[in-house]
Amino acid sequence: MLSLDALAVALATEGALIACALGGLVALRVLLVARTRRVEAAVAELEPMLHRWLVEDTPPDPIVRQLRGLPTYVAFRSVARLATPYLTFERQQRLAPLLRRETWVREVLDGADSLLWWRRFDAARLLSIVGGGDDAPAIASLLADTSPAVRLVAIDAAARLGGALVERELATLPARQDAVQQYQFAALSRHPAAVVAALEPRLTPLETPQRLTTWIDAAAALAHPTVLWRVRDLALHPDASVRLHVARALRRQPEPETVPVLLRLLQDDDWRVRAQAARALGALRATSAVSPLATAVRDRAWWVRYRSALALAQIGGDARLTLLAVAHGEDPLARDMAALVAGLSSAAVVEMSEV
Amino acid sequence: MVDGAPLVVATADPSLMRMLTFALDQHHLAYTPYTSGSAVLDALLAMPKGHTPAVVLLDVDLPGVDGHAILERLGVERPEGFLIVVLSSHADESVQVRSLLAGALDHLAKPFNVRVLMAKLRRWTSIARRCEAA
Repeated sequence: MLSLDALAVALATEGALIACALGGLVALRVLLVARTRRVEAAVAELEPMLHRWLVEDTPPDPIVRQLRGLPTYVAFRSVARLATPYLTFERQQRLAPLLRRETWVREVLDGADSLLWWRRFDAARLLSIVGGGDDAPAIASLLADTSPAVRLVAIDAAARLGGALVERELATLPARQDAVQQYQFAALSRHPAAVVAALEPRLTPLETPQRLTTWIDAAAALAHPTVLWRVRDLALHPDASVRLHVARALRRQPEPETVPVLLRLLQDDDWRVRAQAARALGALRATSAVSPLATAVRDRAWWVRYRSALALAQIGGDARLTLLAVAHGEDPLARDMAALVAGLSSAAVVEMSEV
Repeated sequence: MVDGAPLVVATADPSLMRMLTFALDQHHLAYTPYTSGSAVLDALLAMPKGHTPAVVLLDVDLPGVDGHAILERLGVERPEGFLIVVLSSHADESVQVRSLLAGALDHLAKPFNVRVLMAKLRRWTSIARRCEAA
C-alpha cells in the first residue's frame, strides 16, 4: 500500500514537473516571440528615421537612440545593412562620432581581439563605418588577420583612414590574386590623394616588371593625371609586359601628348602591345591615328587587326569611312575584319572595346 | 508629375524604393513606381509620343529586362522620349560610359546622396520642359 502511495506521489510530482516545464517552454516561447516582434518593429522604425535624416537633413540623434534600444547584434546588423548601400561616405562621417559613444558599438569593436573570426569580421565591418584615427592599431591588426574575409573587410576600414595604412596596403598589392587586387584597390581609391602620394614614387623603371605592372594597373584604375604621367614615361621600358600595361593604362589619359606615345607602341614588336595601343587610341578618339590604325587593320596578328578595326569604329566620322574602305580593299584578312566590325552597332562597338 | 513631366521610378530594391518614394513624397512629386524591367519597359513604350519627356529613375538591376537593355531598347524606339537617369551599384568607368553612350542623362552610383538627387530632379525637369518647348 505504501509503495502504491509512493508511486502515486512520484507520478503526481513528475506530472507537475512536466506541466511546469511545458508551461515554462510556452511562456519562454511567448516571451521570445514578443521580444522578436518588438525588435522587428524597432528595426522597421529605423529605416524611415534614416530616410528622414537623408532627405530632410534632420539631426541624426533619433537614429542613434533607436539603435541604442536594440540588442547589440541587431543594432550592428541594421547599421551594416543600411550604411553600405544608402549612406554616402560623407554621411557615414557625420554618423560615426555619434555612434562611437554607444555601448553596443564598443561591444562589437571589442570583438577585434576575439578568437572567433566572425567577431573579428563584425568588428572590421563596423570599423569601416565608424573607424577613426585611434583605431589604426586595431585596423592594422585586422589587416594581418588569418581570415581572408576579415582582411578584405579591414581594407575598407583602412581606406577610410588613409595615410600609413593605405601605403601599407598598397605595398601588398603585387602579392594578391587579381580579384583581391581589384577589390583592394577599389577600396583604397576612395582616398585618391593618399593613393597618388603612395603610388607615384613606385612608378619607376627600378621596380621589377611584376611589381611595376601592378602599380601601372593601379594607376590606370585611379586615372589620376599625376600618376598617368609617370606611366607614360614607362612606354619605352625594355620589358614587353610593362609596355603592354602602359598601353592599356594610357586609354585613361586623354591628353594630346599621349597619342604619339601610343602610335609608337602601335609599332611595337610584341603583338599584345600593338593591340592594346590600338584599343587605347580608339578609346581616346584619336583622329590623328586613323591612318596608322588603317595600316594596323592589316597586321599579321588577329587581335591587332580586331582592336584596330574597333578603334576606327569608335573614332567614328572619317575613321568609319576608312574602315569601310578597308572592308572593300584587297587584303583578305583586313577585309574580313573590317567588314565584321563595320557591321556592328555603335552600342556593340562600345561594349566590345571595353572587354 | 514633376511640374508637368511624368516621373517614373523603377527599382526592385525595396529599401531603395522606400527611400526614393519617401523623398519624392516629401518634395510633393508624383511618380509611378515599377519593380520589374518588363513592366517599366512596356509602360514607357505605351506612353504617348510628343508630350513632355518623362524623367525615369532606372535601376540597372531589374528582374525581367535589365536597365541597360531597357536603355538600349528605348534608344532605338523612342530616342527623344525620355530623360533616363541610371542608378547602379557599379561605379566602374566602363559601366558609366556604357550608360551615358546609350543615351542616359546621368549615371548615379550607389550610395548616392538623395538630397542631391532631388535637387538634380528639379534641374532635369526644367530640361524636360525645354525639350517639350523645342
